[in-house]
Amino acid sequence: MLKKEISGSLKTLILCLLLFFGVPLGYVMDKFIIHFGWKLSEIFNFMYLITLIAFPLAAGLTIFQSEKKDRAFEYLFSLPLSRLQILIYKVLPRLVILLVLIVVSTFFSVYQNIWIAGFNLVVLFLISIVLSVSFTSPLIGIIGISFFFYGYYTSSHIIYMIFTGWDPGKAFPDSTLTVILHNIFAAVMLLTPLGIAFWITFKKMDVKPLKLQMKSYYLIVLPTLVIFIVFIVLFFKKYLNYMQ
Amino acid sequence: MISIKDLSFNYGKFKLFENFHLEVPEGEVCLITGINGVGKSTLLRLIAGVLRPAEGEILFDEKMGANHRRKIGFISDILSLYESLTVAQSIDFHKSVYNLDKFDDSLIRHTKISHNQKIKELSTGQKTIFHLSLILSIEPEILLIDEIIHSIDAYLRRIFLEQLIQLQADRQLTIIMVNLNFHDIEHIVERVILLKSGKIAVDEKIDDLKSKVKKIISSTPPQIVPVLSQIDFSAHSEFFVYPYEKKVKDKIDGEVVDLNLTEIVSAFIGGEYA
Repeated sequence: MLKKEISGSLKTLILCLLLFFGVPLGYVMDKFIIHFGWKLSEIFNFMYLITLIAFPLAAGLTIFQSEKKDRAFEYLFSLPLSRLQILIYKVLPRLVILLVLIVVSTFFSVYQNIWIAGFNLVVLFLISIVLSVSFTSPLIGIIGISFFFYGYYTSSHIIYMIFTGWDPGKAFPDSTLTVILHNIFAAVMLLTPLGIAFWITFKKMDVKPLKLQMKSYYLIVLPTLVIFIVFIVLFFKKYLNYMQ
Repeated sequence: MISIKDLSFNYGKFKLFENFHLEVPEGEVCLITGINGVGKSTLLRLIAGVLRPAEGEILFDEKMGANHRRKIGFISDILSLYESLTVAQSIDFHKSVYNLDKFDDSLIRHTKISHNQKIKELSTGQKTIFHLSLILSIEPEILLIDEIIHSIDAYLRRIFLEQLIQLQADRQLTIIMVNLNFHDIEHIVERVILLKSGKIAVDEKIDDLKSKVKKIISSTPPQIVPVLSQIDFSAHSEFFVYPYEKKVKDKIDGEVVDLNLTEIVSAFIGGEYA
């Protein structure tokens, strides 16, 4: 099982690495058409950044793609594997590849702070997994995940502001640990209900049409979404003022 | 033994089973039949664990251990496999999940399946044979086979059924089949279950069933035994009756004819559609 999932994860990685074809393309475009003066290393770093975002998104969103495409849920669920085992086999290789990508990115100046970026990418991966069961169209999936991730990102800033008492002198965190702590807070706030919704659904999932099995999922996810939106809307204006 | 107790199952608002009971003793070969949509395949899926009952439970013999699914071989009507894997990769996958040291490919060797072929490149018959090889490799104690066996050609079907008979004789395999080619399996089936509206309408040993279901060729309907279904011809009609008893033979005006399993099942199903 692990071998199959490693192979599936590597295929996703290879697809994401195709983005690097954009490096020579961007270089040629800059040289002959747009003349922005991009350096090859800058284009490479930009493409690495895109790959770093694309991989967790694609890996999470397509975690059950082979079962959906091949109608193999029936075969998978007939195997003597617990749901937890299935999930571990599926998540582990994808997570390891993501962590390797994050570590490799330290060799290039892709991110200013790899700890914060790495944490956010893992959160993006987890959001993609927990939302993967509810989306059948990749495009809607990407839009939905981006929306939730933006919500997480904004709320982590708002949480920081609330903790600092909206002190203008502390508008920007001074240490990595502070940022990560608030990111963890926002991630727990978002991923706990989503994770519970995903686990309840996946634990009970069988080969009935998926739409007949999503009741408890939506009962948790939709109120979470509403609470999250209300939370952001309540503080967003104040947050924007501070950011300015 | 498989023991189904108080089982209820529904697809959305459509209730398929309610307080359903069934016991299948160890080593029994059982045929489940009924009209389309009555829940035969769903029942197999519930036993296989790929569908979950809304209420009730399905219990297995204690000797199968906590992870009883390790000993259940299930082949469904949709042939669910990882289509993008090759035959060799699928065998590897199956071996790793079931911790198998070896894989008996004797069934596959009769076919023209290459280990490098992708599953999606196989014909339905080849896929079925391959899937059967996979499930037989786990040395199951319970075998659940949906009507997909129709797709295998006559030669391979005979080889498979011979293997099945051998396994059943050697290991007291419990087999539940759905609507297979009745002619092929008539000599191995011991019990026939007819489902109707989420309940068991008929549950008989095959010999009892053969003695109780008869065809009466007559111009008038028999009054003394219930008619399941009938076929009308210009000069006479054929009446399929159940339950028939030998002692009423003299009171029947017409010829009483024995039926094979195919005709018996057709008579019941014909009655459902009438």
